[in-house]
Amino acid sequence: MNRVDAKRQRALNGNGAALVELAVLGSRGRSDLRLRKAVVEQAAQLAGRDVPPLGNKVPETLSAVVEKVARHAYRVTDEDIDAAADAGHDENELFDIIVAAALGAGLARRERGLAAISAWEEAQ
Amino acid sequence: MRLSAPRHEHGLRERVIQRLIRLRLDAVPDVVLACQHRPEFFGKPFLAWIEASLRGPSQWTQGDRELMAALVSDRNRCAFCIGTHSATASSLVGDEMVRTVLRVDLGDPEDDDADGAKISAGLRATLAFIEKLTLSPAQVDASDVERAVAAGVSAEALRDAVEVCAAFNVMNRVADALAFEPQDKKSLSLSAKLLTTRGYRA
Repeated sequence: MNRVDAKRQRALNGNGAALVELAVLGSRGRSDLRLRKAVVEQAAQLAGRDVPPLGNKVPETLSAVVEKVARHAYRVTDEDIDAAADAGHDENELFDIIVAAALGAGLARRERGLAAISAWEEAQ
Repeated sequence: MRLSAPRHEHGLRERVIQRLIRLRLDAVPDVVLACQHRPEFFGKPFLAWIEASLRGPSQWTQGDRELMAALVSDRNRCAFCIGTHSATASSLVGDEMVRTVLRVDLGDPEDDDADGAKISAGLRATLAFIEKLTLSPAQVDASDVERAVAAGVSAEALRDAVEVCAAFNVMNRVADALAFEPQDKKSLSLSAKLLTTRGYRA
């Protein structure tokens, strides 16, 4: 890797997560944007992010799937996905919701880890 | 894989790549299909994040970072990702090291695996840090950082590990929610080879 590449890589190293968030909350989704934002928030909240109480709400027909994906995705079953589909959420929407829930869980962990490191540095 | 959209809806370029993969494997791994479904929405930027955190410049070796990926996947009980990243880590640091990392109690320095590989103190403390960040993120604070620093880990190296941890907490959830089919032996060995030689940008 040459020096310019290394520099670019390092810049991306800090922005990788932000670019994923921009994409998932961008125009390429096939679900309501406010819904996607609400899903990211709910999943992040389950991992300890403080979320303002006046945010968007995840509808009841999706909250079980979102919670399972965020807490313990290995427990998601075909029935969970079928139930959401039967409630009127189409496949592309469900793909978006799963990705958004997974992203919220990851972003909150990233924030938490980086905040702990910064707190340690400030205490030195 | 659970939804048919990520299984079947792909652009022309993606379908060509899938055809090339089918020349060598019986099936295209589900992770490829999912990342190639509307790639601008998730797969493309996500793989760039993974590439930067696992292959970008860092004090950690690629082997160290594949071990981190395998550990996070193990603690999230994601069979698909445990398979891929154990195989990839094994090809870089050996089977014994992977087995030891996944088996020992990382937070207890006394729990030394006499028969296993010797994990360096810094890597072990960092693995313990991301294990906690995976399992109980709300409880992570500066005292956890202090433990890793005391084992010789720099704040910068710990930040690099946080990126790996966060990215795999996303990947594991997508894989399990969509029920990725675990790869067979042949597929795992080709994946490990491609991931160590070419990285994550398809």
